[in-house]
Amino acid sequence: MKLEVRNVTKIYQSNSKERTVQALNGVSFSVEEGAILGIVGESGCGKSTLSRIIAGLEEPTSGEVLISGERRAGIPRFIRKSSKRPIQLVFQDPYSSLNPRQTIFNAIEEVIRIYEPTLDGSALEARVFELLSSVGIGKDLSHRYPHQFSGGQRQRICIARSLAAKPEILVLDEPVSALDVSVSADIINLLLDLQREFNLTYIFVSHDLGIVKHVSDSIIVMLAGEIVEYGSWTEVMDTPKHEYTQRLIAAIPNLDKLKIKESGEQ
Amino acid sequence: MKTLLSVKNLTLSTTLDEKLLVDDVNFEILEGESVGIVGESGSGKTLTALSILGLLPKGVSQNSGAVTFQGRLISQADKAALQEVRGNRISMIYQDPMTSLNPMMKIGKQIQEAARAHGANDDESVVLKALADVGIPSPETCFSSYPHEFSGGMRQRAMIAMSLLLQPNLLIADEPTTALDVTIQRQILNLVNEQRQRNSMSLLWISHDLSVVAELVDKVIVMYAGRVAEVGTVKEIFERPKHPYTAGLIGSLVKRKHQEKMISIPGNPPKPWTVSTQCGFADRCVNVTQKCRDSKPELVQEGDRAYACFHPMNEALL
Repeated sequence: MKLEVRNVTKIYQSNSKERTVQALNGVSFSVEEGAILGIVGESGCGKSTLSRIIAGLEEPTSGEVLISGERRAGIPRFIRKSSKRPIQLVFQDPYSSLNPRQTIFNAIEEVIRIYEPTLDGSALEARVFELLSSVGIGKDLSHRYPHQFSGGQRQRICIARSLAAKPEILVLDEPVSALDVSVSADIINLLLDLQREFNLTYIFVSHDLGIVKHVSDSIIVMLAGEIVEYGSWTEVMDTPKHEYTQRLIAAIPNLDKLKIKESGEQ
Repeated sequence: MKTLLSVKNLTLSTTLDEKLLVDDVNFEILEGESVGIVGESGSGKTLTALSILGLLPKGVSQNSGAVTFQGRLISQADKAALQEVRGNRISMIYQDPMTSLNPMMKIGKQIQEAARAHGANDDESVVLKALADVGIPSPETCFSSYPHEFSGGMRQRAMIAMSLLLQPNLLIADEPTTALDVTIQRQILNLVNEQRQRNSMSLLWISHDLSVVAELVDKVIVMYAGRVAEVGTVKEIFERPKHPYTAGLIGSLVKRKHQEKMISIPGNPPKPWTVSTQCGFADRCVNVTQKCRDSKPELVQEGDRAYACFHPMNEALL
């Protein structure tokens, strides 16, 4: 399933229409099925707006989003609702994206009921356990509430919940930024495993080029609502053309660089 | 070099149900030295820093511990001594500059107020110079602006200007770059480093990010589950980590082939009070034995480094 974004522009207006903010300006790119596209940029560069538009949570001011050549953004919501939803979104903060008053079993069951209404009883239960085990959460924990889990576990549950809709494209908006260092590597490994297992297409959005370059096949660098660099991960990392990309690369912590600094001091 | 600050046997727990939060932490900062405390959320790094200035939040009490600064004991009991040290001798900058600046007050006024409160020169010219020193492009505009008119990076610069105005001997920085963009983070790191060298002050930098700390400090203290897991110079810690937790953290920084599995530490960090009689890292450790679950490893000194582990790593990592 191929994703295409054509010339997407998003302008936010204040209620009085006096002030406008251009969040996105003429953004175009495409992602092949089963590929991982990384989007990097600093806060305010429009990367979250873009991921929300791709996921259909917001409408672009102009431009279009096509999935397998079929137009998605810009068509009335009620029409879109009836068709299947191949795109799911995983958010940054696993603390605020789960309902605190719902057990994780119910949180996942709820999604399955929407997309597979024919499932019920033990088949439904089995599907919930299957999803939880695919992200490494045992079924003995399924009756618990979100607050009983750690941040890393909660992010796993959010990922399971998004997989419940059987998506083909997963938009990951800063999926590890809120997690501890030792836990985030674990989540990245899980995401890479799932991507291969289900042949998913990822849009991986992050401010951290170090992680983006590790997971992505191709990389987009955004600055002030525009794409300033777009290419395969090797092109972007080895021969960055834009000055801003070069600055981002220089900001990646590098153990080799540290060693040079240390030995240079002696 | 003389010892500037020493923290001895610091133990903190929740007041209400006496849950252990920080367990017997000891360390020293020499004059002019920069020290980093690294740990995940809940490891007790921020509480340790706050207790130095007697700023512990409500509900956390200090069971034991002595903080000595320039040879003088500073404690909660001696409010006057504490007040003399705060701001004047030890300054602190926090993670989120938006919540540490007063939104209703112009930046210049706030800095003047801080100077006046500590009996320093509060002339406008002094404040303008302080703002220029931290790389704010037009100090005059900044002086008469409100915090919301500035970006996160600029606000953090203003905070740093305020904290350096009194020329402290020690600057405590609690994750001051975590809320900032990576390119801005780099600028702030360079700025703090520059200022530290220019004013020959000591630095205590607290972070969850080992790589950020490594670029800035001489000595690293790794905290895990409320305890000190390992202490050493940056070079030693990176090249030959002794504690398996440190080794795991560094492992996750090591370059991996594209899309290959990253080195990760399985499991989650425990709450300090659940592991008060055993090694906190036992459940996630590769070298674990029964001994680690039956008893608590003490911090052993080995030359100028120390670690708390029964089964330390032997081989060099890099």
